[in-house]
Amino acid sequence: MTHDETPAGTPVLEMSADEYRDFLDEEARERLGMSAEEFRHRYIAGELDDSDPDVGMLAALIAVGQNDDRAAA
Amino acid sequence: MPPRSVAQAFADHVNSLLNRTVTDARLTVIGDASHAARFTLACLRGTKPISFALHGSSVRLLVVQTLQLTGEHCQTLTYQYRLSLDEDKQSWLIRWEYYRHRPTPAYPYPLAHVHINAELLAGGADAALPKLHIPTRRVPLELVLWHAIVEWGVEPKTDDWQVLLQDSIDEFERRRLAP
Repeated sequence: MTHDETPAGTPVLEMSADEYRDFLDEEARERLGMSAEEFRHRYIAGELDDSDPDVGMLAALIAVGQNDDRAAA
Repeated sequence: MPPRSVAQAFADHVNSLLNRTVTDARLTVIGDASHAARFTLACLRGTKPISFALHGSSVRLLVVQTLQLTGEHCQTLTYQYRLSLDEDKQSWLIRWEYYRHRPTPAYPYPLAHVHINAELLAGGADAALPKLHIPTRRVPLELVLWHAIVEWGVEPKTDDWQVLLQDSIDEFERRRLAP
């Protein structure tokens, strides 16, 4: 994991694939008590209540169903 | 221009806007080596996304936005902008959410919508307001900041905040509609 900053002062955090996976896992576990992969499966299965603000936050963070992760046909 | 530079230029612009109008906080560009053209913007404490304080008010704003770079164009894949009374997630007031693509095949809701943490006042209405996905167009972060200033007592850091926010919205629309 590398921390950097743009000349304008924007923080930049670069993660390896494993570090990014751990980052998502940690967020999902802290917020909803499940791994990111379990969140993804349960979200796609419609098992999660997205009136919970953290469900919407994690769906956005994990980008469920977007591009190469696209769930929708 | 490499994807990282495009994402960083976008984040520089957003941070400049935030810092000139409503907060001293900054969003971090988070890169994932397995997706060279995908980036996330969020305010971090360590590596944890957090809401940030808004100037002169107790309300806070959480921003989580994922970006996909296509050439030199920065596409938003998803966002959640969450306005809250404090850091407790139960204190959320309004959530603006967006998915560029349906997140699940059976997803029935508008891809851009807003949730409101409130109760309906209309007698006999049978709906839990926080569960409703109230349709919107895609909402630029600038309008959320505008709303926070006008409706939630956030004190703008400069008198020309409306010009700054409107210019940023206009520039976004100009680039979005450019051939």
